Amino acid sequence: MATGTGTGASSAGLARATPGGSVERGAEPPFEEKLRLFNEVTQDLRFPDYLYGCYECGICVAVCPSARFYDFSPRRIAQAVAREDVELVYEQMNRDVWECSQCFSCLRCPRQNNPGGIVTIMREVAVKNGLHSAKEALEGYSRIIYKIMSTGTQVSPDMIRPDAFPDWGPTAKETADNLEVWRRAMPPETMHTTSSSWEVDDKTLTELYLIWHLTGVLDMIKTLDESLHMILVDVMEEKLEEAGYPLGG
Amino acid sequence: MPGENILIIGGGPAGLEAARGVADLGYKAILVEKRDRLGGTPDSANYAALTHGMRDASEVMAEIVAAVSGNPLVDIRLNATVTESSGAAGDFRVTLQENGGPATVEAGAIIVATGFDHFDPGRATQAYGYYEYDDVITLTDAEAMLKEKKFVKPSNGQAPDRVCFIQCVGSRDRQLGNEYCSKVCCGIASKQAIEIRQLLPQCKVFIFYIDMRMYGYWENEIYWPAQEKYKVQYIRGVISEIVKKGDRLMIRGEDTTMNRPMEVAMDIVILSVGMEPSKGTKEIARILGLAQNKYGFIDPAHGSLDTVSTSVEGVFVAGAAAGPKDLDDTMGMAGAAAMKAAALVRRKSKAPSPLSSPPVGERVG
Amino acid sequence: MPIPINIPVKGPAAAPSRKGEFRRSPDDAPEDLRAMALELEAKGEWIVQRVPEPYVEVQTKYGKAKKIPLQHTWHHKSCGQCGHIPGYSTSIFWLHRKLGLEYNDPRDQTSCTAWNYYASATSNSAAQAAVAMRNFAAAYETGYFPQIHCATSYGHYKEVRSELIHHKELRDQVRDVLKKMGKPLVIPEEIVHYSEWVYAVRHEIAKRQVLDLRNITATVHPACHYYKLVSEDAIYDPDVYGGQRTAIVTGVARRSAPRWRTTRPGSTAAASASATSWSSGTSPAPSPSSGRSR
Ligand SMILES: Cc1cc2nc3c(=O)[nH]c(=O)nc-3n(C[C@H](O)[C@H](O)[C@H](O)COP(=O)(O)OP(=O)(O)OC[C@H]3O[C@@H](n4cnc5c(N)ncnc54)[C@H](O)[C@@H]3O)c2cc1C
Ligand code: SF4
Ligand code: SF4
Ligand code: SF4
Repeated sequence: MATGTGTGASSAGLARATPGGSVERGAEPPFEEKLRLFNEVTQDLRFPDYLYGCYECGICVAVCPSARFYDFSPRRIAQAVAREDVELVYEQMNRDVWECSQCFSCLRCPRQNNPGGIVTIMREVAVKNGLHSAKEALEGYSRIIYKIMSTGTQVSPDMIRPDAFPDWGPTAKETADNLEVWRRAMPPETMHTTSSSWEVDDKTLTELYLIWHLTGVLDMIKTLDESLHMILVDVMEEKLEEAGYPLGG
Repeated sequence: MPGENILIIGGGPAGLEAARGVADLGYKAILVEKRDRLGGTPDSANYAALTHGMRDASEVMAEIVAAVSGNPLVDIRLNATVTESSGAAGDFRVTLQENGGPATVEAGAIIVATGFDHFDPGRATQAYGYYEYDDVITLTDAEAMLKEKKFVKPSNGQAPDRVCFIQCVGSRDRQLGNEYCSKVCCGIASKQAIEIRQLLPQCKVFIFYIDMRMYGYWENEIYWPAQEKYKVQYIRGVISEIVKKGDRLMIRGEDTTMNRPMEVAMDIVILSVGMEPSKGTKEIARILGLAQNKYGFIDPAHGSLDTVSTSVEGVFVAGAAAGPKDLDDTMGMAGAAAMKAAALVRRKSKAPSPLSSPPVGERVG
Repeated sequence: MPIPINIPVKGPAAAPSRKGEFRRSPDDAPEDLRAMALELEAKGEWIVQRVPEPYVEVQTKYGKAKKIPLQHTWHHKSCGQCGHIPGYSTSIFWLHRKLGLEYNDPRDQTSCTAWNYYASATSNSAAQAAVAMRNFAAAYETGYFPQIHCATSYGHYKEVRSELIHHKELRDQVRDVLKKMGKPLVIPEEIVHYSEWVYAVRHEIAKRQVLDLRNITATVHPACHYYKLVSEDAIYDPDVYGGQRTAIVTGVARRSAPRWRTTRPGSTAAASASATSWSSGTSPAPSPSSGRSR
């Protein structure tokens, strides 16, 4: 049964999440809503493989890179869900989960828990339900989603900008300035591209659209960024219709 | 009469105590041991002092060995093991591989006392660096040094200033397939911690644990003195990574009680390795067709009310071959196995006995 | 002689070491996903794309064999590599051509999109599995076997394989999605990372060494997603770091110091034997880019 231990700290915890206080928080939802989100996490088909029980041994924290830099703990993630602490899980969904690097070092857990995987599911629920934290954490991220949808690849050569990647050193500027030439100089023809990682066939891209359309990813994008969703739907529907895929639903 | 012989496989604490019991009951024991000497793992792994009571392991083992070695009713076969078996309760024919070659023995009952192996920390790759760093050792490596009363860093022979134990290495771990608690390592680590503090009073000793499992008198006789008198530091949180820094070892973990990460230097790290069924245990279980649990230990067929009968009538198990056991458990099981084996051969043998009147029925043992 | 991990500082032990040598055992391995994939194939659930010959058998963490195909591979590129560090993919192709091994550099390939997924969670397990299986089906249609350049794709696909094997409803959903685009549900017999291929051909690469790198200290960072996700499927070699660290990168660095060149009997010798046998045969003609061009 779900209990609400640790609830007293929840609003304080949210305040901590935005030290600058710049982002306005959505109103605190009622317990029933938090319970619904909690159940959505635990009902994910992967969940039974991601949480067994927790020893509180701290192995996951010890190997976790994020725990070294943030007030973040995979052990607390595992414990909160294991204790069915609906309030705390809600709080974590609004803050902690965005601090995980998804490196999966925590898979070393002796109980075979996967705290990083629990984070994946919690993030997914946060995005799907349009939680404020998800929008905030993913601000500026829309361009990556747009990149995938428009090219089928995630990271493109033209993202190399000296200002964006100062740690790439002095050659980043020269590469960026003469990108086209550099790319053409490379032997693999598939990589003579600047706005996508490699050249992707149109048909391939259309198939990717179809997957996103059929598996509900577009709906997730909608809760995250309406205008992006509109652009994508426009492009996609045209392509899918051209390719002769029926667009029911 | 051969049907009254009782074959005991394994000459460790369990096998030795079972042999003594069988002989005391007036039956003949054939004790088969793979190594060239008796004493089992406490002897082969050079244990120092034994919990609880802290008696010298060699002394204790010498006593148990002495109880059987001159005994006319115990036929000791060293450098021997079992390769084949046929027959049934009351009438087993077992082939041994001995020094001189194969030999056949007949026995009415068999007691399996083939014991355990220590978990090999190499299986937890990337975590402990046991095969990479000289100064990462196991409980048994530490026992051997403590036995010689010379506890030094293996890398340079110098006395350590800081030593730590990591508990539950290879136990309670679903990833590694050993989900059970090995029962003795908390006590052994605490015992060794005391011994290290006695030998090197300036040396700090830490124990990193998930839970300290010190049941019964191990609590007041070992745990409390370690903490109160010898100032051993118990820290809740398990170390998950060891790297070398200069000539010391940096260990990394989380202090879960204090909710903070730890990264501290140690001179020696001792891995509290747990128990697994020995190769001999798995092999004998296969030869005799005994049911094993998913870890490979021999399954007692009747649960906690009969800890020594196996899935095969006439075959009994004692000691660590049946799961993680301390010496108390081991000796208790060995006595019970001797008693049940003797009762079985008495029942099965044709020879009339004054005590054999009431029929025993179907019940095994 | 195994490579000591702590090369500069480790000296001979002062006290006699009681440590033996680590011996792994396939008995210790968890469930065998490859065997389970074949069982599902037998039930008609999907197709298992077989590793083409010739392949080298290498040992995974618990000593189980893994087949690494040497050629006729479909190169599942990495967006991070191709986008920002294209020397990676270029070198992988270059090595194939140097060794005379034929490959396919396809345009019918998308990102695995796991990087987006791990970063933004704007996806779900069905979408992720469908993207993976679309790419695998695309490889299958060409007859070439996937070799995955990206560690994240590799780790993620291994997770996807495990999810698909364990959850029938997910399999059914993804099979439906693929059916709509006229593709079959196909899982490769092995999921292979390019570093595993490099490990498999390391002796061949070593034979062609032109620079002496003996005095160069190298640092390697085996990717988290390579050996932490479905960890039992990563390559370990008793001759490399005593089998205690994944062997994929270190196996190549070995060449630099001649005193490590001696091979002990066992897996490495076997691997090198099979490595020479394929190269002494007739090497197929190099075909730099057999992907469709337009
Ligand atoms: C580090 C460590 C320290 C310990 N210290 C203590 C302590 O202080 N106090 C305590 O109560 N308990 C202690 N224990 C537990 C104790 O060692 C065991 O309870 C005990 O050894 C079990 O005895 P056994 O006879 O069942 O098995 P073992 O001692 O393992 O003996 C088995 C014997 O069978 C032989 N054998 C195996 N296979 C075959 C075969 N096929 N054919 C013939 N022979 C075979 C082996 O050679 C061996 O001699 C310790 C355990 C560990 C891991
Ligand atoms: S996956 Fe997340 S929680 Fe797990 S170790 Fe990496 S950063 Fe930490
Ligand atoms: S490693 Fe596993 S058991 Fe240990 S604290 Fe983390 S989640 Fe809990
Ligand atoms: S006895 Fe202690 S160290 Fe050993 S497995 Fe049990 S809890 Fe872990």
